[in-house]
Amino acid sequence: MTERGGSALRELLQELVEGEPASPDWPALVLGNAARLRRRRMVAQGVGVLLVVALATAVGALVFTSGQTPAPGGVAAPSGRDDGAVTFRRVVSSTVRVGQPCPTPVDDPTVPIFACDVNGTVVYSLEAAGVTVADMRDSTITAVCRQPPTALTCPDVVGYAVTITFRDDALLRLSTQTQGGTARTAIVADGRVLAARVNTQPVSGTAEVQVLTRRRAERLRDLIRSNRPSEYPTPTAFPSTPPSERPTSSVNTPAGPPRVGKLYLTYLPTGYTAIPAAPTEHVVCSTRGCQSPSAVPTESTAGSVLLQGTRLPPIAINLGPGPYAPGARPEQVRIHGHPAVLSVDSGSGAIMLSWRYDRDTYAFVGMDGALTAERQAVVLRVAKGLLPHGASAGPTPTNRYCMYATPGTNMDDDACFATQTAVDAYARAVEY
Amino acid sequence: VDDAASARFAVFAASRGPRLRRLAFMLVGDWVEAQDLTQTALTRVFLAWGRVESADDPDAYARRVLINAARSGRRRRRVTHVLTSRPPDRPVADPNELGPDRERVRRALLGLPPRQRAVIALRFFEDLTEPATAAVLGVSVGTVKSQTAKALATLRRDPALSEEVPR
Repeated sequence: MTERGGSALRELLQELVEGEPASPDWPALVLGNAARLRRRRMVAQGVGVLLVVALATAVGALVFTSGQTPAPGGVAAPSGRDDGAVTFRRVVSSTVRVGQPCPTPVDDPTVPIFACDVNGTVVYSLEAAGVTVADMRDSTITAVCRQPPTALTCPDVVGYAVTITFRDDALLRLSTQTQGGTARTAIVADGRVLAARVNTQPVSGTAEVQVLTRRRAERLRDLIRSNRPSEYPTPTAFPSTPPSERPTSSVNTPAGPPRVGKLYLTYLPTGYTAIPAAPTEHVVCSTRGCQSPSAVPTESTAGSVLLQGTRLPPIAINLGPGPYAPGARPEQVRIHGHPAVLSVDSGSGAIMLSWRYDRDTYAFVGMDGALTAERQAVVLRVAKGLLPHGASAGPTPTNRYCMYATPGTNMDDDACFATQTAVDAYARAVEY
Repeated sequence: VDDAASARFAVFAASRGPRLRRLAFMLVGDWVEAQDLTQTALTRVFLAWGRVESADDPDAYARRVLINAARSGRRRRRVTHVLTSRPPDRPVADPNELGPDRERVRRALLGLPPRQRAVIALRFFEDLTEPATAAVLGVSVGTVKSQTAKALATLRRDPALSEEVPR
């Protein structure tokens, strides 16, 4: 039966693996792993025990360090031992409690995962999320090496990433970044989104954490599918304004009575069904700080900035036909006639759209980071296509979380930070 | 394992890794997990390379290790350490994103029990004979036949696949 007549099925299976990701350097990966396994066996089985113990008790605390014994009061330097070899281990630390001041890792040999608000208070911990070891399915530690790693060594670790996957589709993702900046992130758990900060030693850098529960994913999915027309009006098409007719006035001084509305992002790439995005709101920032459209001055670090003032009327952003096709022009993305910048944080899934009104005024739109995988994939593809062909397909020189679609348009750190602030604020404001 | 053996293993891993990862994808339906699985399997192969190398069919051994790893991986918590030269969170397309047709096939495969899935992958993706499949899985040829029949029957019940699945 099956020796013959299975050609169609064989064809299907072969098609299934077409377009597979690039293959890694298997010998290097495997030899490194094998040597580490051997060394681990030789050195002590206690390491494995430690891992088990850590996993079994790591409610609210996960630590990753370089292989040598942490120096008193801190974590061993990322450069590792003299031979450059790096191993990892986890150490259990005490759970960080909600309401306590955010501990600084400088004097703490452990690196707990916790979330802090902008005032430096712990607002969230894994314990608060009700995460227990029984929920944990797997975890991965990734060392980011400055140079391509050899079989055994990562002589200059510049970052770490930890991914913990929980059962029941709950997902927490943490990734550390190697460039400077404040570690800001959003934690989404069970329908609630909270701003967060994750301290990352031994590197100081940004980090992203996401907890996406099945319940929240389902809500998001339902929201996307239904579009909830009674609550969210249909987005209108964005007019393709000629450059000469582009508005030049700042949204800080809107004409007429304040209008309360929602800002919509509508992605209409060729070959894909329009995906109504979740409603979002926006904030206008300049180098002097962020403002809501009603010109209420606020600090760019104020998480509540989006909750004040008047909102812009609904608009839709049409990314144009096939924005991610080779050669796509970033100018296809405009808001109010201004070239827009789409930033995607694949760590948290947050999507930020920014545009520039004048030399020192930016506007930002933040979208919730908790996207379904499908939707995130679409957006990522869109974002990828927005980038200038062959250039800028990555972070800005100063902040890897900001990408720009318009050549020559740079987003400085302040702008990026403001973008993140907007995302955080939006995340706080919206509860599905 | 001496240097010469390591070099031979490197050749083996480089040449077989991609194929093993595809087989792993058939088993787990996720490229990231498939890569982890392949790495695990190849590591185990390397640790037993002396025996594997002298065996009649190192490929069969590697497949068997892979399938066993896939089985056991489902049962226990997994901790993997991966070194990479790239930061992990650059925006990239979802590697698992497939078109609707391929996604349909992937889901259908994942709907099969693990052993039936392995049989289908070995028989129709790896193009192994029934005896070879039986050898990899460590079961009898009769079991392979019965598992294949059950798997095909299940796949055939999927309206979208009914025409492609052999009778």
